Amino acid sequence: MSSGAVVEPGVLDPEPLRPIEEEEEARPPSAWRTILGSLEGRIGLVFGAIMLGIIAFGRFFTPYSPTELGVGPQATGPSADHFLGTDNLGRDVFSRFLVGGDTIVLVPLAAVTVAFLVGGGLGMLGAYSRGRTDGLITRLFDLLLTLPPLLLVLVIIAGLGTSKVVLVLTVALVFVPRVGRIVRGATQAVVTSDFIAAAQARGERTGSILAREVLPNIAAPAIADFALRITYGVIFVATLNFLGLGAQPPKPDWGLMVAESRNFLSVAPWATLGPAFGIAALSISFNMIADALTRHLTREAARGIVPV
Amino acid sequence: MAEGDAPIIVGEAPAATAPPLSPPPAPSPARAVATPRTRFARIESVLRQFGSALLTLFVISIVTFAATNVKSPTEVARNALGRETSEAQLQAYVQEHGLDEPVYVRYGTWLGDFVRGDWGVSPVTGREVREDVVPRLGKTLLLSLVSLLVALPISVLIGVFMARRGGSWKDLSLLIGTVVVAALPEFVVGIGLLMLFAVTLGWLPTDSTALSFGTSTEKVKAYILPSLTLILAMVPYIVRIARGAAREALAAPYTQAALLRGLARRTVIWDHAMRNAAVPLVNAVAINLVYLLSGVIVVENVFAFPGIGQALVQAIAQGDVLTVQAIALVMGAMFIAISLIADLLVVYFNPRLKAASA
Repeated sequence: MSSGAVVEPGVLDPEPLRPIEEEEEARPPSAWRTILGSLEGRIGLVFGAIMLGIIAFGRFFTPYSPTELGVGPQATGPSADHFLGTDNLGRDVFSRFLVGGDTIVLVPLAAVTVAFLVGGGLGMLGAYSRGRTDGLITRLFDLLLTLPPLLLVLVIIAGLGTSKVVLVLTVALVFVPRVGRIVRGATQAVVTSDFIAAAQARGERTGSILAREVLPNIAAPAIADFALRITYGVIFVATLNFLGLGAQPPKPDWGLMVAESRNFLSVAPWATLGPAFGIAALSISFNMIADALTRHLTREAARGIVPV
Repeated sequence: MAEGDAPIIVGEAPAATAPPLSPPPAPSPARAVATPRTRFARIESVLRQFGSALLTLFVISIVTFAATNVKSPTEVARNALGRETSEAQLQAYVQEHGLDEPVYVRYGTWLGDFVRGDWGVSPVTGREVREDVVPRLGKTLLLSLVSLLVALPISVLIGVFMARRGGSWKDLSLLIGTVVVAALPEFVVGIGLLMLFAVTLGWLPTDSTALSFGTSTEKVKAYILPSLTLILAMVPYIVRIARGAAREALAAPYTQAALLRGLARRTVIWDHAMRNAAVPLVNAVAINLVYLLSGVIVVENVFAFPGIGQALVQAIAQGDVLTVQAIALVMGAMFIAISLIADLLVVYFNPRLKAASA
């Protein structure tokens, strides 16, 4: 070191040991903490839990049989005997409400899981292998993306008829390219990292690199997208039920109940409004959770702008 | 509805949260010099849009045909003729309708007939499919366009309002408002409006059947609730996109510079920032349009609106395959035509392409 050089104090000192919390901060917080960290996420979580509780356990507390006809007069408003009134066939709306929320949770859950397995797998594979495989996969996604989703599902149901399996697979088909695109984008940001090169140098197989190196590093955007897809799935499946192309009568189902009682809105409003509120509460709370997650990830740089 | 995907909370998620990166600043003089490559940029881009629209229609026709032809020829014949049909009769039916031909031949015949205007006679209604579908198409088109043309400016105004107050409680509460409304399926929104305006207040009819036989006032009234529902379904998505685009544009250096030069805020926002934001904005809306417009299918079914969406769901319930095929193609073409127009607007707005063609 030449004698004339100005050495700033501290440069030669060893780096101070940083407290562990700071390390933690550098890492993205868990999905759980992200949701709890925002008001929107907390509201969503509370209402979502209440709705899921009603859907899961409500069936054990029905005052009447949800499918039995004529347990009361036809199409009446709320009364002491019938908390939400009765529908046009004299069935107890409250009992049907307690039982009717299961398809719009289970079908989307299954559909989104299938979409993540297929679309997410293809997206990761494409971004990881690049080249021709990637081109092929991207083109497939682009092609599927141009198809109008609801129209696609309706046409498939027209051909295959409706059943839970058809419902899960067609809704999954709609989500595959959308999930795939998100996962592919997230993977692209990761695959150039050194730890991937290290794993390749160790001679690990593609499958295990994708599962052990890539997957944990794209978990955050994947979880946010999963939450979002569930919301869309709920909306989608509820809509299909409403159109009479999902759950079939006499099954008590919220979407179907809205459609069946729509013409009796003026005499027995709660036969329609009750299940409509159920669907709304469920999908709003899921959407709030998804939004809290998404917004955290894409945290907008709001500071440092001249206010316009 | 539904339909789906559309993501982020706004239409397609990626479009919503991450609109295309900052718009190009006003064209620099250097760029305006037309080279052979850029001279035709606009035409090229228009042709590419047309090409991809045609390709999409082609894919829709294949999917429609494939989905509605999963059943074996004998099954189709048995469905048409009833259970008590002899093997010979089934064979005769199969031959007569060309069901024994290879799939691609049948597809070709079907598409050829369709393009020439022969949509077949529905076995369910006994009428020409074309005569049932075409009059409905106009109503669906009007409903979609009116809703879109109302939703777009409203959403842009709200989006700019939010972007100007980015991070304030007004912005955040409107943002949560969009999350709430975007989470509502169209039919829930429709039922809510129906309850309020038709049942409780009694201002509007409870369904849109008046369109088929009512007076002109009744016809206008029959459009109000369906379009209001569709508008409410679209607004939160477009607001999100508009807000993102406006935030980008307002934060851009040229906007900041214009402000610091002392130009009027209104001029800066609408003439500088939003003019550039128009490209990513219209682009993102165009991408999500097909998704947004699918809501028309649901809305028509809530209000018994006599359009093709209602006819589609009816035809599926009745197993009327010919009508399903016809409506799927017509509706696909309608969605694609509307997005194509939006795409062409992007080309029109894009200052880079504009400079090139000057």
